[in-house]
Amino acid sequence: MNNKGIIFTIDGLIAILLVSALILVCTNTANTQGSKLEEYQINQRIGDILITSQILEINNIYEIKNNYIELIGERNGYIKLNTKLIWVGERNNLEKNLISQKITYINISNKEIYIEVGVYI
Amino acid sequence: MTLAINKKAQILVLDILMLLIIILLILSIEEKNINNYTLNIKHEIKNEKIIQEQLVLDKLISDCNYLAKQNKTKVCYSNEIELKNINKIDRNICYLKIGLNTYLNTNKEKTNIYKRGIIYNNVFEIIEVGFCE
Repeated sequence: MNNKGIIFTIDGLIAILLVSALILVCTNTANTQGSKLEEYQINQRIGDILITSQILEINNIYEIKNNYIELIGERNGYIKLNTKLIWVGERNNLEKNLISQKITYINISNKEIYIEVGVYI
Repeated sequence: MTLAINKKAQILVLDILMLLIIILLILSIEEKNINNYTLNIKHEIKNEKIIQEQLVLDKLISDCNYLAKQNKTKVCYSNEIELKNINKIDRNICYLKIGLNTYLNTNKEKTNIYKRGIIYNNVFEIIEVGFCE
């Protein structure tokens, strides 16, 4: 009788462990989905900054920064135009994820232009 | 003899009680789990709707049948827009603002408003597009 009781208890404990593991998995999945959507939206906006900078042939890094602030807000990040680099918000490399995109194109003066925009989320 | 039977009975009752407590605990955890799962599904449906709307917005600013600009050589430019096809845009879009000017605003309640960067009249502008049910 005693042994059966122990088996019941052990079964119950195993079940609790399994259920807890399931809860953990479900919670993590929800959080990942939320951040992926945010990454997607930020990626689209970075793409907008790059493509508009290319079409308008913007060669002033501060103009790109203004566009960044208008579109992405004060979220920390950086802009690189050829060799010049400026930061938006605090220069904080400890933040977890960096989303960045870059383009290189030849402008009307036959000069190669490199633009990179990074956003920390 | 009676003492031994009493002891066994006590153990049996304790076992059953323990089992009942564990079952109740598992049921309450499962209920929480199911609630979380339902919330996740609702969240997923909401996310799916947001992605769908973002795709509509993408098409809106990159397809020349909608707002994207077509140059003289019939090349369609993504992110450079003109408003000649504004009447063709998706029926779910009820709000359209470019820079400071609002070009479409119905009285319907907006569910989501999205911002994108575009070129309008050769200037960088923010386009805000709102979707309604």
